[in-house]
Amino acid sequence: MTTPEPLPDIRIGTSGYDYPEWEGVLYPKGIGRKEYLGSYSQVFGSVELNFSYYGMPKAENVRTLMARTRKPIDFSIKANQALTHKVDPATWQDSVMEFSKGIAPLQEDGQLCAVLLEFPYSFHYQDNERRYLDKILKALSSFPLVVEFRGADWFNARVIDGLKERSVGLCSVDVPRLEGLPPLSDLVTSDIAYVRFHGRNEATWWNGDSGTRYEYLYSKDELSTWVPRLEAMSTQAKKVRGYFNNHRRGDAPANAKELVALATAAKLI
Amino acid sequence: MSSGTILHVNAVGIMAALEEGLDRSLRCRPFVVANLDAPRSVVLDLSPQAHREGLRRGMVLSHARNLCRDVAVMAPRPELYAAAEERLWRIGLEYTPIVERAGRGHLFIDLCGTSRLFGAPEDAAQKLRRDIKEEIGLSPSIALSTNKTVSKVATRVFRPAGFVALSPNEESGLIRMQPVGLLPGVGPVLLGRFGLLDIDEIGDLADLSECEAHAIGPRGPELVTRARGVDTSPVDPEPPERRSVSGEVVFEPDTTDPEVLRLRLEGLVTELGFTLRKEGRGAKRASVELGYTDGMRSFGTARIARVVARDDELASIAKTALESARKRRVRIRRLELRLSEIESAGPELDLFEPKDAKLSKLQNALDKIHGRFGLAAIESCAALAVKA
Repeated sequence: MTTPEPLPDIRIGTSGYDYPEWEGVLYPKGIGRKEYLGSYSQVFGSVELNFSYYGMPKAENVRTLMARTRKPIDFSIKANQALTHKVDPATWQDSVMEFSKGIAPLQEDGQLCAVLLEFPYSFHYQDNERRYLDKILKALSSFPLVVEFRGADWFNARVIDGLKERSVGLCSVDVPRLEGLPPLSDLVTSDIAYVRFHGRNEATWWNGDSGTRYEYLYSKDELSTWVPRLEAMSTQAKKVRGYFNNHRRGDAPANAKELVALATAAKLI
Repeated sequence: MSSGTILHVNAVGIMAALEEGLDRSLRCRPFVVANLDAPRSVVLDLSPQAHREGLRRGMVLSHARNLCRDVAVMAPRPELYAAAEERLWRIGLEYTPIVERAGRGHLFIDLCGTSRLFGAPEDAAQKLRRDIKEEIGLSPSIALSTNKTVSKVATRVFRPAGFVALSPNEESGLIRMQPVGLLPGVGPVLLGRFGLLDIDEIGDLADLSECEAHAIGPRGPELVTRARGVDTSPVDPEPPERRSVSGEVVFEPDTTDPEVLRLRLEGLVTELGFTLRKEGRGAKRASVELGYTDGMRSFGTARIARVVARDDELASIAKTALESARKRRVRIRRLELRLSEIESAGPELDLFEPKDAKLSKLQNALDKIHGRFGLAAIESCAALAVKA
């Protein structure tokens, strides 16, 4: 008797979890904020922490977070803005040290899935930026890394080969199809295949704020097209992670649950 | 923004992928496919791990073994690969009849008009990707755009096993940034020349002026047009063997006589033209290859905008190709003529009788005789003189 093929390690979750407006959607109404992560862990197998982008993570806070889960989940964590959006040439290396110390508990406990380096649209494929990318990838090379580019100019063979050589994942993004944004694509460049769902709100993408930009509820048809893509990615990567960033009104957990259901029906999860 | 409908399927390393699918012990191991019986065997295909070790296709096997001591060598199984290619093609045909076989592991599929059956081109591409994985066990890279050149460049970027769908206004931006070596038609020789000219990216090539394009070589303007993301060639569902017809003559003794060359070329034109006309087809391009006494070769090509089928018209472009191929004053041993860009060439309807109606009638009469009694039944006096 042959043993059946093990299921690929595909986990779907959300970008962030600490949203009071998700009460009634994902969390029971009236639940305390300290209970959010525990409640979250009973539904999803992975979460992308994004508080670390706004403030430098502290090891003790991260340990507290880890203790709040009720079921084992893994964590991806977004790099601090001092490493991606507001880089100070004089101090970024100190920021790397501080960030590394802060997320060390995740690494030590084997609960770290990936560190996400999300670069802004203004981060273009130019000499200085390319050098900085090389430096930051080296500086954080002790962690599993994933890079998200918001500009289409990074999608070229040299960058892709460079990411493969460094075993750094390339984040696939689901965004509106607007000029200058990354093309509709997926490619596995490391052991981690990583997808971020930002919504397809064309009207507010350039004109809205950080909230309205991601105001979008995916339809079932739109999510269905991701099932074969996740399946294809799972044949190339050891881990596949997908995180919904359309957090307004609880759209993200609703869509994440829907995609989990679709992937389960396709026997991927 | 919607994606283009021209899908390129690029099953890179199809031989190695198939071997790996059949023998799981090969996973995560460097291995190559090569013929062990041949005296100077070369690497026909290789696993990604072998590629990481610095091994390449076309490398001599002994050299590959020196580079990677523990490389496994698998004997090629042509029947297995041919069967997989056939299945790959048939999967494409389940989506549309417009499927072009474009070399080992490569397909072009025109998904235009299939949306009612399979959804948007992006969705159809995903379904096809899954079908290929389930039926053959391959994970090819696939790309959608509005033309074959852009799709092919894109699968070379998003390899292996990647997916990309480009809308018309994303295409130029994406291919401009890629290394020029990824542009179809740029081989090692041209790449070396581009290196000297500081042409590193496809965008550098796209920015050349018309004069500069001509300076690159005979195919310069065509390459520059492609570099700009312009390619009007349709997806050609004809099997590869029907995309061109060719014939050759070997001179005995070798010759430099232009009259002999011309007459033998016309003989080839008669033969190939007859083959095409029998099926109601004609050609746009003639290519001539000359093999010289000293073993060197030269090439020439000529093309016209419309499809021609009559011998006199085919002979006219064939002669132009011959002239461009004749670059040396060395005796010629072999002449090969190839007619390509074949399309149907039915009779043109004209309100008034065309000027060359008489020539067409003559051609029809000759074809009837050739069809009934063979090509040797009636020949031009000049051709008979050469044979004598």
